[in-house]
Amino acid sequence: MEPLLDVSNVVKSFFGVRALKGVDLVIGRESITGIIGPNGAGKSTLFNVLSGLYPPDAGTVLFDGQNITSWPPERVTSVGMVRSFQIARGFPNLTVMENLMVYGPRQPGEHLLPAVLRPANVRRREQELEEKAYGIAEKLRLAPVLDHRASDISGGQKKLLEIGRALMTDPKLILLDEPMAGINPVLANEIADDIIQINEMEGITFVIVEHDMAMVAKLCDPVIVMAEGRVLTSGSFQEIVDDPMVQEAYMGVSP
Amino acid sequence: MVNYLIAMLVTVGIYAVLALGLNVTWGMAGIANLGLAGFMAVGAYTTALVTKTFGFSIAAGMCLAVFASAALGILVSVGTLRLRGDYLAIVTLGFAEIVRLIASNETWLTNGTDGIAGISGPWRGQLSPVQFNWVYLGVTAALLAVSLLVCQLLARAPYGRVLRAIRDDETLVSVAGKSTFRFKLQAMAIGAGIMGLGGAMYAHYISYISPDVFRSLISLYIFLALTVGGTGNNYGALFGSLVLIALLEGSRFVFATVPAINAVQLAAAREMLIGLGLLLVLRFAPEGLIPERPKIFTRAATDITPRN
Repeated sequence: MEPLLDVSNVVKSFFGVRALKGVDLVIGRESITGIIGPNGAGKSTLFNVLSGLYPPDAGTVLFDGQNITSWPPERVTSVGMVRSFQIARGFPNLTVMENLMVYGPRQPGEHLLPAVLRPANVRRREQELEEKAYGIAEKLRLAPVLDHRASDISGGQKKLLEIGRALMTDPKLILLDEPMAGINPVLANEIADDIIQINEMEGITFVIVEHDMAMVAKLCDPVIVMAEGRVLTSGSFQEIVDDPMVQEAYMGVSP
Repeated sequence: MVNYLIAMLVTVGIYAVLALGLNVTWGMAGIANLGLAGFMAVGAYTTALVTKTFGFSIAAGMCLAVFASAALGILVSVGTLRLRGDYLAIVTLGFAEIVRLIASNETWLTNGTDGIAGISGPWRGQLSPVQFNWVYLGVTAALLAVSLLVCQLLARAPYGRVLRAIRDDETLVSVAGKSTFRFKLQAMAIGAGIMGLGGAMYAHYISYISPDVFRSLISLYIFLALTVGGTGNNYGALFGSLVLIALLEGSRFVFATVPAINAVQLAAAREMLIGLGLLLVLRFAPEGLIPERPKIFTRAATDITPRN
């Protein structure tokens, strides 16, 4: 079976600094793939290129058999690949419910005339999206805060909302940028269980950048190691840990 | 006195329409549009020219004013909407000045700084000035009601939700799968169209327009009205306009009771009062007197399934 995501030779420079020096990787369907690597390895830049926030200088990105290289974010999301952000973003003045609803696709009421005339299909779609948002909120334990402004919820809830918003887009693949960074271990474990459950129940593929190695070990197979703008190696978590090359990339010395 | 009060209410209504237009662009979509005076001028001149020169009816003139301003809103947007907020503010401010300079210098079209006099008003010829004021108050109320209705429908629709999301975090809206450029372009067009309507309402009421009327001070006044009333809230736009005119006009009477103040000092004191009013509101009610209220999801209250 062809991979869901096929990235080849992606290059991205910023003012002469080569952040990505030719990244090649494939992501298998319905996998939970981890991407690890020291700071400056290019993980976040890779996510920015994949999600369409930056166009790459060279290389190709194939998603689900389609060449999506240099597509803008809205098109990337609409074909089924959506990202979260490392520092939880969200729309601070909108409620949690509205935050979820904005990510809902195919709402005709987002066009001018239907917005004013509000025909039946707008109301029907709104109801569908509300059901969906409500289900996601229940699953992610956000239901009690649905009517709170996104700026007023806890840091952990903001992390959950990142995942919830992504789920609203009917994605095939979710790029999670450090979903466990800065939250307590209990909640981190809950989020890991959520991810596993969503992956198993809905067949959604995950690519996760994470520094918490216990979480990577628990969640991710395979694990891709990046260093200095390239993919260093990949394999199961145990293979990666035993690899002297990986140890050198992290520690700076060969053991 | 009654006549004066009606005139002030008409002014409140016109300001409220302008503030509604600003609320669509700045309040909902977060586009820093300081070109209000320009769009207002285009609306006013459009209707003045077509009703005077081509004998169009006032209704047709007002419709054309809306379309002309909206079209110009699109034109201005195409080149500038990719700019970041503060740069866009400067460009739109420049746009308003350009409109005013064109109106001042293209004498063949606009009669230059002498302005255009004798703009028709609804049944102005057949009515006494007091009657006309009453009629125009009705016209203003009706046009304000229509503008408010359109703005409220947009604000409460999924469309308005996306606009407010763009205001909060534009990048995130594109990650959500929406083309933010389309939304911002439309918001600019709608906002500019409503501002053009406000300009046309002004022209047919006062019956005289000149480039001087459309100085950027009016843009700032309307910004003030919206900020005081509640940015993002259509009713805030209405209420803020009322407060602004009450402050502007009420200060006349207050200062008139102070014997030591002459007319020049009074004018300056009024501006200071406006500034003080803004500072107080920003200090004690930073979201305005009627803040934007988030939409509450109703099922949370009625749902019977147990929740943890």
